[in-house]
Amino acid sequence: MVVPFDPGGGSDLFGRAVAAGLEEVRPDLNISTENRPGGSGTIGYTYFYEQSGDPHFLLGAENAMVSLPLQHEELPYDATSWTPLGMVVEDTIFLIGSADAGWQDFEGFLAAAREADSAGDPLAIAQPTAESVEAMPLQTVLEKEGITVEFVTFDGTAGSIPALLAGDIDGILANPSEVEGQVEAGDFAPVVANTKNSLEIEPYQGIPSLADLGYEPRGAFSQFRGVLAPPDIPDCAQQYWTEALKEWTETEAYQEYVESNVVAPNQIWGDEWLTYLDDVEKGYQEVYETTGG
Amino acid sequence: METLTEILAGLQAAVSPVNILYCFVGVTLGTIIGMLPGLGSATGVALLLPLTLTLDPLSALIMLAGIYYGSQYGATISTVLVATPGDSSSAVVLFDGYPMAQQGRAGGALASAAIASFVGGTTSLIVLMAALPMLSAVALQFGPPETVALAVLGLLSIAGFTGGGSLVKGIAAAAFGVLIATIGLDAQSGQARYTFGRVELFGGLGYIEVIIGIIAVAEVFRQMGRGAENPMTTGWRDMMITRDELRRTWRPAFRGSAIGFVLGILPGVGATLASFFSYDVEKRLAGPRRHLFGTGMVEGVAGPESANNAATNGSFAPTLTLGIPGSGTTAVLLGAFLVFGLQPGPLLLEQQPTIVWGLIISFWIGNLILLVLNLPLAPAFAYVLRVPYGLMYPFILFLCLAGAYSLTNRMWSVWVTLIFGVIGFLMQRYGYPVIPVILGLILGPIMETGLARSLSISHGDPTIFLTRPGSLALLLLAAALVMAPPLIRRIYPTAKSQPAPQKEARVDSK
Repeated sequence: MVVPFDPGGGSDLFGRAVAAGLEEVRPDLNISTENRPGGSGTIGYTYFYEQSGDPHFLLGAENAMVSLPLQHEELPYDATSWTPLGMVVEDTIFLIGSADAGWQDFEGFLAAAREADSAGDPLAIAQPTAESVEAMPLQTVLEKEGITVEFVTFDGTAGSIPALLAGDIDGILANPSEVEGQVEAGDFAPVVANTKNSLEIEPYQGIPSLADLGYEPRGAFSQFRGVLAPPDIPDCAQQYWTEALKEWTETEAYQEYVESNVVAPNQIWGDEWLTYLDDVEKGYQEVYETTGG
Repeated sequence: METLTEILAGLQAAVSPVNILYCFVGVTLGTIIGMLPGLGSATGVALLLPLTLTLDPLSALIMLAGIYYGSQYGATISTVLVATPGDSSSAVVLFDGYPMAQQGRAGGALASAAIASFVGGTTSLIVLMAALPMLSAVALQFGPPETVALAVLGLLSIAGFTGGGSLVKGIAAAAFGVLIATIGLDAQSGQARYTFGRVELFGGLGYIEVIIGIIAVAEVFRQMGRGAENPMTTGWRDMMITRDELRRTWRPAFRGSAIGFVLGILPGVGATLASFFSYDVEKRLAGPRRHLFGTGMVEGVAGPESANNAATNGSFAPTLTLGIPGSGTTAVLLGAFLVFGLQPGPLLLEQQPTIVWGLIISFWIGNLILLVLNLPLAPAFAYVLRVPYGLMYPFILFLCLAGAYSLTNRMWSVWVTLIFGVIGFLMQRYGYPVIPVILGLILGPIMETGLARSLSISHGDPTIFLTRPGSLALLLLAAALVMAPPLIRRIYPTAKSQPAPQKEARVDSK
């Protein structure tokens, strides 16, 4: 199991959960998880590409598999190069503001952002990666409303949480599990789910998603997590892994992963996943074209 | 109250048999590494880091930190017994420790050093534990502009103090570190920089590969062709410290603790400066016996040793609370934290209290183990120096390269390590210090992302660094650190002669 990011992050937790899950449903398997971090994921994906044809490798994938090849022409692969096994969850990214920011819901945020923008001092929102895939849904909505917001890249939330606490920035985009402590303490308030669907996990049920608020969901709204095999593996191997993954999603361990990481179950198996990925790719292309990114 | 519970949880974790074992292994290895000339604590930690990757993070960090302060003790042993400082921070002990050994009082010197180190370690630890929650609270108020200012302070101070007199070479080395840190995808925009279209370079050059290369491999190259040392032997009875020596150890030890902690806390300044400073203070306080310094004064051993050890603990304060390394070795340790998925910074104490407190308490346990080990066994350790370098250094080289490979499981890392070994060798040969490169490599990205974030927040207005009191104060301090040494030298021309013996020691050692 290749994880193209550092140990301890969301991708690492996902990769390890999948590896443990597959071992649970196929007791004769022994899967080792290998972190190959670097280059926002390019190092790991490239290593994985070098394993073409070998069905003994898996990779815990997320949006970077679509965004990286679009941004770096040097990469010899794109989102459809791989053997898709299945998408298993959708990650949820919330727009989270500090509790004393003066806006408690998305409408309030828009009003504040508009006011700040016209005053020449746009709001600053932290995004967790430079690829800005997490910021894309919000970005498209803001574009539609004609509001400019400054997206500031912080790697993960280790730097952005203190920055929001200190008032240096106005909001952060993060998975709620990363700011649980601050939300519980009442310092931070999640405002809107920056995804297609709202969450059904306590205490985030009441928080609307962008789609709930009437914004048309697009491909770029998705934050998925799934599992890939290298290109050109035998069909029977693809079937084997997809079956095993399916079985994992029926276990309690899967439920536990979903709840503790505050993600939404959403499964698409095998080649059907390609249609979905295609949609995401189109969404990204549109955004990159308009932003010139 | 909550803090107390967390400290107790840390204590519990630190005194678990497994962690005490790792602590013991760490300090013992550290002592041995510290004794080997040139192989300082930064090398030791970089060398053994890959071996700890499979351990639980706390155990790994305990062992690595053990190597850090263990090597300070080891460096003292080789300084006293063979007049070859294993580490620059022990160089000052040469002035009085080696003469003591020549007079047959090596035991007194080593025991006094061990006791003073223990005092320095213990007192500074208490201060560190009291200060850490406060520092974390202050660090939370640190925004991107303060981070930039602190990184500038760290870079300038280390460049100034390890440059062996040449500030320009120190700054050049630091700039080189910053430059190589820009290779790879830019963290802000995701653009590829200096990658020449090679995907291997997208991730940049790994900290640890560069560190192993530029410090450890380079040192092996440098030491090629050296024979074994012939350490002075000391009998069991000589190891006993006399009552008089013990009495003269306490006060310098406590003064050294204070000096060490304060200087250690400043990013980059570190242990070497603290030990020299403490020596100077002891000399000034000695009054009529001042002229005896340099002939074997216990005070001249106890003060610097205590300062040296206290500075080690002090350097953990900015590392743990701000993610800004306080010394070259903590820079390497910072890399270790990241490898284990721990992000040093103001949230570390909040999110991982057990690891932070466990680690800090392990320092004390480690110092205790070292005291117990060193009082009777220091001369025995010195036998390690009799192993011919022809056997030892190939083994170390093998460890370096195997370690580099194990970091990423790619031959690429081995090549990076070797190339930086050659670069490090050439740098030392032409008088460029290598520690600033590492600081540059680690602080460069911190500074750059801080700069980009600051300017994002201020919408491109650079005065943000001067209008915020925190960053202004830090920048002024940085300016003072660069300006002060030349000014002092101009006012007191004699002060210049001080660092010179450090160089002599290098030449002396065959």
